[in-house]
Amino acid sequence: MMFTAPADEKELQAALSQADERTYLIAGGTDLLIHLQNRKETDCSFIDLTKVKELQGIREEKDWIDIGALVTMTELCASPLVKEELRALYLAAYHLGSEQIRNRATLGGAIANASQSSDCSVVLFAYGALVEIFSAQGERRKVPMDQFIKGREKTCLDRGEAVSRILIPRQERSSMFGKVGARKAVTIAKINCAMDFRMEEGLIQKASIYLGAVGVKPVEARLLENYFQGKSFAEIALQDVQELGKEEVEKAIPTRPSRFYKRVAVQGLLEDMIGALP
Amino acid sequence: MKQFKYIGKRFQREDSLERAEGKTKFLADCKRLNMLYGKLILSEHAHADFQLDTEEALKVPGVYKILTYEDIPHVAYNSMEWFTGIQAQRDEYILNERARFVGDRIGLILAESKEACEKAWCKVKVQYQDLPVVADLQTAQEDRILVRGKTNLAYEKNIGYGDLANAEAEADFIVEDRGSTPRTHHLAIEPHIAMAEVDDFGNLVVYSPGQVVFAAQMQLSRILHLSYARIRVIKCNMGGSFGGKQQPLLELTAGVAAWLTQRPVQIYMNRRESMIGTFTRNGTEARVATAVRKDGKILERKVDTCFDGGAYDTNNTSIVNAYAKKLFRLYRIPAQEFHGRAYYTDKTPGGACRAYGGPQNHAITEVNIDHAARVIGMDPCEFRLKNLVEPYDADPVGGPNLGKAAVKECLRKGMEAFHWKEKYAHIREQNNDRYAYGVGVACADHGNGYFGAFPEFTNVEMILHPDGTALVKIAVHEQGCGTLDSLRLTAAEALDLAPEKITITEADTLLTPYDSAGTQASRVTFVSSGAILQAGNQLREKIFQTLHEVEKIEPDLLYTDNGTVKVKGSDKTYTYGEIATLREKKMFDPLSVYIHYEPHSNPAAYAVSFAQVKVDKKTGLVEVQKLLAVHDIGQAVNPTLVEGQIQGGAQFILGMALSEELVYDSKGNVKNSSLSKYHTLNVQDMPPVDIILVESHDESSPFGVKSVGEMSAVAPGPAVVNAINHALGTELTDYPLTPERIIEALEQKG
Amino acid sequence: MKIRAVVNGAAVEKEIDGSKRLIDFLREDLGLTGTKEGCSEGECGACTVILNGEAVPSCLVLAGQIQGGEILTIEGLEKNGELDLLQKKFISHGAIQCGFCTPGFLMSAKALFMKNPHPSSEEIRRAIEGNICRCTGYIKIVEAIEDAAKEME
Repeated sequence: MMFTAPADEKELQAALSQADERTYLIAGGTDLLIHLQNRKETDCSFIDLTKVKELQGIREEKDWIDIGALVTMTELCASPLVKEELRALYLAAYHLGSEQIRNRATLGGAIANASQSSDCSVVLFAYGALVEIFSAQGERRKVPMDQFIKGREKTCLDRGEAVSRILIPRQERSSMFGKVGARKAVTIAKINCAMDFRMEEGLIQKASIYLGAVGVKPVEARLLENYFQGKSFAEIALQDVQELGKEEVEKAIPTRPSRFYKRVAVQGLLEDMIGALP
Repeated sequence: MKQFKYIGKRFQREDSLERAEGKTKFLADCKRLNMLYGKLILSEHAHADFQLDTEEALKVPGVYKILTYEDIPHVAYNSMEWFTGIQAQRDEYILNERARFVGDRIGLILAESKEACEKAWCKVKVQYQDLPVVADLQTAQEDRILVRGKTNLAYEKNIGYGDLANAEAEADFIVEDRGSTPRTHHLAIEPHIAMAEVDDFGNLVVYSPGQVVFAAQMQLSRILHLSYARIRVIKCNMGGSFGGKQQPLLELTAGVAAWLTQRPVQIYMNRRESMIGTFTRNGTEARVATAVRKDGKILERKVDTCFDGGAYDTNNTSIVNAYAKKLFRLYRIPAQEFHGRAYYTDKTPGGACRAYGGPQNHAITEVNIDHAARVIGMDPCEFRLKNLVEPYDADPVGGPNLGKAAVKECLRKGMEAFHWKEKYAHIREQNNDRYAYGVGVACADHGNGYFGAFPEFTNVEMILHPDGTALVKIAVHEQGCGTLDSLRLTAAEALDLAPEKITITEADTLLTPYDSAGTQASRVTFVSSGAILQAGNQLREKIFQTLHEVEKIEPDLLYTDNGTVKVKGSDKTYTYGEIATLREKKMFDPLSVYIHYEPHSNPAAYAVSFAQVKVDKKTGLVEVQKLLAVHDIGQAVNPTLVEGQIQGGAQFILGMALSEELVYDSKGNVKNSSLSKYHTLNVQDMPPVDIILVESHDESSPFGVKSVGEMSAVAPGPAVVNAINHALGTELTDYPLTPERIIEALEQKG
Repeated sequence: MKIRAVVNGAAVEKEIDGSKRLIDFLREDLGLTGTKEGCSEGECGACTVILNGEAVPSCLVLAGQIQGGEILTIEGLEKNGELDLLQKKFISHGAIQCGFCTPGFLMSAKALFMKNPHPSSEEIRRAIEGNICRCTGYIKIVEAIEDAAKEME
């Protein structure tokens, strides 16, 4: 087994160029090590990303909030910028896993594993985030979230590539996240939802709403988006929203046995989210 | 009531210092020179013949051997048998030739390091030839597919009393419920582990974080054809059991492996292996029909229950009988009938699990009692008060007398403290579109050992040393509950000696006197403290007799005072240590006794739980807002430990009520064999637990004590289910009440 | 690889395979067996240690990842022969039964206190929500931590 911990992008480039099918990129390790156990993988090598300085930190730019792939859930929660401006991401990070997991789990890892119930993924879909990918050749490409995640545990990452940063476009926004799990805390979402509203003079100018855990990747809730378009928060009628939420779930998973539960749960979820809007 | 000097007071546990420091050595922290690590290869198919391809695995550096069925003694055993006088179907082997459940033992990797074990395990290839699978009780009963032999029916029992026909004729209503309880995992935080070695004299020594050293010795003696004298089983530190380590398992695997290799062997499991490859609580499906009169009198009850026994016979007889026993000791019912059947299925074998059968039994019967109360329009507490047993009632099927049963007092005290009447009548006024509120109650009974069913005795050697300390040699197994500390207080009371001067041993087949059944069946505090009291009394007599003989003091003038003997009308004082020295010097005899003790009663212990819940009608999530546990404890030995048992018992059984269930698919695969998918209550889910102890002081019991550890893990379950049904107006009886089940019930209700 | 870290206040330098788990490094290479393994997937919290001031599941961290870092385990809680306040409170409140989960709970609580010496009840619960105890029902554990929080200077 091999272990390398590049300190910067240059060293990362060198490490990535030697990656083979048994090389894994590790950051928090909260998903990876479990996957490896389940798949009975031995003799693998690891590239530890946690020391790569370019992959760290949250940067405030004019048009973007630029979050390093290594930023942990705990760091997201501690960032006033995230808490103020990216409420949905803050809530997703706040309610993810347990304290120990939040201290390790990174935003990059959360999306690179492309788990179908990932709380961070559904938020980044709603935000229309771009994923910056760094390659062994030292190149960078930016891919929109909905192209980055291709399916259940599938991304567009090739061998020799790593998620380096996540870029969230800035706008006059109000955003919200919610999930329903099997219990109050330390729970994987049975259904989750992220809403991102572009606001103009108190009206929703554009709504971007995604539901998670109702398909292999987050599903855009177009009926809900249309409903919110042009309304003020005061005009939202909860019952209408719940009705549409139910339709969205039935549309997304028309045959799965879990739809019976999720089409009710989505109503509770939406009620909580609407109730928490400003 | 008798005033005690030590019993009933709050003492800090002696063993908690080293635990807080992380210094306690659990077995995984221990190593031996030249030790092999062992990891079992568990079947991934529920019913299959198989071939193991170990070629690649054996190439892993450090791998010593991979054992299969071919390599082990072909002696079948039944892990539930704990003494020679009991015999069930013997169908377990150390390693199996055919896999009968996902988790069945099909190979054993032995290697010089854990790392090598793990690596080799990844490289073992198994080819399975699948056989038809019995994955549920329905299929098992059809007998189309057989787990083994000619039928899946493993054990059947009918028991009852009274005039059923007459009772039914008199009844105004017959209230029937069908319900089910899940297979659950014990979830001791320490996964299963055991270690064995051959000592310098060629004897086999086994280290067991278990509950029955003498049973492990017996089983190994049979399997290895070795005399008992050559096998020593030592209870080592244990990180929780809850019945999961009650049946010897890795003790036997490690014992055989160490004997075959003549090297020390430590066999360990990870969480998944503990979940699927050991034992689980038996799942049940029950039909309960209760005949009631309009005035609230229960006239008759029929209980019909099927038990999911799993792939080997293990505890089929025990679970059916333990379940049945508890039906007859809670309510005065003129006629009852129980019909129980345990079936083989291609699933993890059933095993002991905290409160053995009680949680399954009361899960449905106590919901049925509420249902009956609703049918006749009576408050469920009032209905219970009309029918609960009275002190000294007889057991209607011939079991031991119930003793000073204080269940009614528990219920009354609880009603008052919980403000039951007001809550039951008004709590639902808070209901809105989103949330529903409700309260529920449930009663439960449990035993105190095996008297009336199996050999019930223990032996104690009690020694007072010349340094004034006492050693109590007794075969008990500390599981974390504080057994040793409880017994220390009873010994302190019996000897009139400060607890810190007393050492209670853990079980060791070579050093501690024989005990009939191990640390199970809620027998330890009740039986062992009786033995300690008897030994203490005899030793005190010996102390007086020594002074009489050596110092010529009349025994009538002597009395003890905290490790000393004083003489009335004199300022003369002898310490216990001085007396021990005198006895040895002048009488050529150590100051010790060895006694045999048999209890002659088995009073019932009781608990009543009250629960308040808030149910989210949109997500199906239940918040238990309040729990009140009232226990007929007899006499609390150490209230801090008693509270710990009751709070932990609530966590345990609320899991069965709300979230814990090993879910199987139709092929017998466990769908949630990890803690990320098998949800036990964490700190955020855990309600506050209020406790009332009713100290009824059963006269037949040493110091008046009754059991609590198992008893505490029963009533909170049905109390919560009754509260949910109260909140929602549902009649849910299938445990656990997961969000999905609650939403489904609400949808059906419309 | 050569690993350099500070473990319980002492500098440690060791040649190891960086891809082994931190828990194995602590238990096997350093003999610090107070850290326990309960589930191997970060769900039970028994293996919690403090890495650079934060509670982490040592079963999901690779040893190589602690390079240059600082680790605190249960063995490092006691200072100059005196128990940490949390340890004292766990003992006096009867918060310990079998003791297998205890080191993990103590480390989670310690990590909380290091960041926040006066946590609220909610903060205490959140800090230990990733630790499972099957014996105590958590109640005496929460009481012990609350009591310690009250006494923190």
